Amino acid sequence: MSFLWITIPATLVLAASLLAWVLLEVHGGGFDDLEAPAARAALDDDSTPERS
Amino acid sequence: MSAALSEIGFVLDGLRCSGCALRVERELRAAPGVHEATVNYTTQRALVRFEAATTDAAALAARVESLGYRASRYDPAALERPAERDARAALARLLSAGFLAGNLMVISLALYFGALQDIDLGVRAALRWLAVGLSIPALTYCALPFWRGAFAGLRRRELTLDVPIVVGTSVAFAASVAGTLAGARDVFTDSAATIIFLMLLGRALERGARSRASAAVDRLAARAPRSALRRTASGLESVPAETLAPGDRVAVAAGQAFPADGRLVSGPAEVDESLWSGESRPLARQLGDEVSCGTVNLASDVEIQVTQGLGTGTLAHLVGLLERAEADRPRLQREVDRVAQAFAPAVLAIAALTALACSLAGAGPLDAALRASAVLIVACPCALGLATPATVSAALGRAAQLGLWFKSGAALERAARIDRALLDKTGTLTTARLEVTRVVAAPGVETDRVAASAAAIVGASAHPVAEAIRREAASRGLPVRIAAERRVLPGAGIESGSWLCGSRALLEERDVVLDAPLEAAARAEAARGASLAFVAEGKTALGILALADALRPDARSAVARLAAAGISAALVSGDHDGAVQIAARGAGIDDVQSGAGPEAKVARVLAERERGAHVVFAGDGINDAAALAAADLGFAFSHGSDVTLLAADVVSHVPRLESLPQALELGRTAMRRIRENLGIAILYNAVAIPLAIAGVIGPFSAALAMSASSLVVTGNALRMLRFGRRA
Repeated sequence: MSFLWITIPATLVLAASLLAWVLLEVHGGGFDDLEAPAARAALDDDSTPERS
Repeated sequence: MSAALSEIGFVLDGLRCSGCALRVERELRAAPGVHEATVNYTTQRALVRFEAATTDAAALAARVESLGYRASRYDPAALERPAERDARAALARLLSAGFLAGNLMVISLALYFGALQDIDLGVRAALRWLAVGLSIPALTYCALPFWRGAFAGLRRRELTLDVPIVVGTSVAFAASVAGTLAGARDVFTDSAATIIFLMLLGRALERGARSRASAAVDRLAARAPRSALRRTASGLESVPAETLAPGDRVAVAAGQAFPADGRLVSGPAEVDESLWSGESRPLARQLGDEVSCGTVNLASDVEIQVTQGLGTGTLAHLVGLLERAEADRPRLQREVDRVAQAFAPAVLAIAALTALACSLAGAGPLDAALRASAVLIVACPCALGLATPATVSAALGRAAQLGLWFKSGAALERAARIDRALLDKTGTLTTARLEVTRVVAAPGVETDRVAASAAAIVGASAHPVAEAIRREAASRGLPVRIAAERRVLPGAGIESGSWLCGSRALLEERDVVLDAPLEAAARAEAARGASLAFVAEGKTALGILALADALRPDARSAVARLAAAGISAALVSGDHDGAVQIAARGAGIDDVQSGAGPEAKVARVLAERERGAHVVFAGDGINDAAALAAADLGFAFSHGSDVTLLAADVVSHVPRLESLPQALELGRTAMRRIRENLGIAILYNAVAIPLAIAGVIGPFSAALAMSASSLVVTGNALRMLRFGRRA
């Protein structure tokens, strides 16, 4: 069972770094709005950069 | 009421349960100069009415903050920042707790199956310590909101509902560490982390429900643009909308919302007023017409002169109305809040007694501790505290979507009890719009000619009678040649060359003689309550158009719908008996009272209530205001006068009578949901706490059961958002 001593810490490090990445994205605002960006891509009008 | 009474709203940060809301409310009420304070847990907002001379917003906020909560002035623009930050932190905690709980569960599985297959003792110890290590962040970082809540409460020498959670998970963790050290057969490190994860999950879902339910208020507030283009001597400058003052001239481009209430100084304009009426058909507005803040200018660039600043305008008034509606809680909820207050100390006492009893019965300290923590976790009365506010918020939000504005949560409760409906005629049972009901021609003249002549004379006049005549000519398919020259005689009629269309007084003034048959018809129509427009050429009367306000197309079906719900309708009107009888017959109402002035209407309402009936009065005129206030529930259409709208409990922005039965059905459904929710919550606690004391439910199942009950209650409340979808 000695392989456990390597695989368990390795998977933990891998998983923890993935979690850290997700948390970084959360705090950067990446999950604030899950609907509008998708809609914006469809509605974007390239010819007019900004209409007010 | 003193003149110096002001009202402000706060957004509260850190409210964790209905107990917290009650505490802030008590603190605000105790402050000097405060007349009234209400805190809504579901929308996390406080509404305070206070004497401006004695205290101010900053002092009130400081009082709230001394309790360990944050309070910021309610301002839709500033609202988003703390909410956004909180949402991110909550999501990060939830994801971390899920990650930790998931890993701990896998380790537990390995240990469980390992125990069956003679696991190497070194590996077992390593996995157990790994589990202890992983649960530390779950119990600290992830559980931070619970710790904060518990300590903020203890500083006030109060036991909040966070205390049982914190104590329960800590006891489970400490027992597991002790078990690991002692090499015990079973440890429960995964339970503590799973509890925290499920608690956080429940709160995240609750937060979602809350933001959906309060979205109606936010959406409304968000309709007002944040900036405006103000005209100055040197041109246009962009200024924040809240700095606009009456008299300012503001340019509004096509497609933009008006930043304040104002009058059109260039125009005409087409305006989308769906904000108020729910109907998106553009409405034509002429030079000098009023437009309200938040409605959208559609067709062309226009300018307005501001008549009301942002803080006092129509939109602010309506947002305030909704806020107050949500703050005014049903009586039922006030009872529930008091019960929830006494809960935490009781639960801690029961848990301590359970642990003591287990030890006395000979169980080990580990077992006693685990059983006590199960009691602590299972007893969290989140579901009880959530049952009413979540339902009321969802119901008011849905009602607003349907164009119905309940002014208070208590109005929902009253709407549910209504069994008698008193309706006013004009503007309620009928549209306020005039229609031609009959055309009478002089002998030898065709009725079509009378209608066509009348339409030609009135031309494009905007008078309601002229509009009705034009519609009549159009519905008869008559070609109308609009007279080139026209003279309007205010209050009398319209003259075009030798042609006349106007009142009886105008005819008499011009010495026009009526034939006997015309005279008889005129008498008959007048007796029925119709208004008359006479058409004459020179000294000869051609005919008469009888006009009356038309029954709403849905009047009959609305009355039938009321009857189906066990609500009998009666017509109470100040009009002539003839006109009232016709309207009543058209709508299918048997119980009719005509010639009723404002006092008679109030007397009728009071007499019905005396009989034990729960009365809704529906009306729109100033003469209905007293009756609206006297009834159990006042229902008005938004085209009514300001006084009427203030007196009413429910305002319909949809010009259909069907919205009355709909409002009453919504009230009934909401109260049914609230009762269901309270039942679920009480049943859950009544079943789960004894089971936890008996040791049938362990800490893990306790956490599952507790979250499940909160979810069931929230989900049941959210069903209100689908009210009326199938119809």
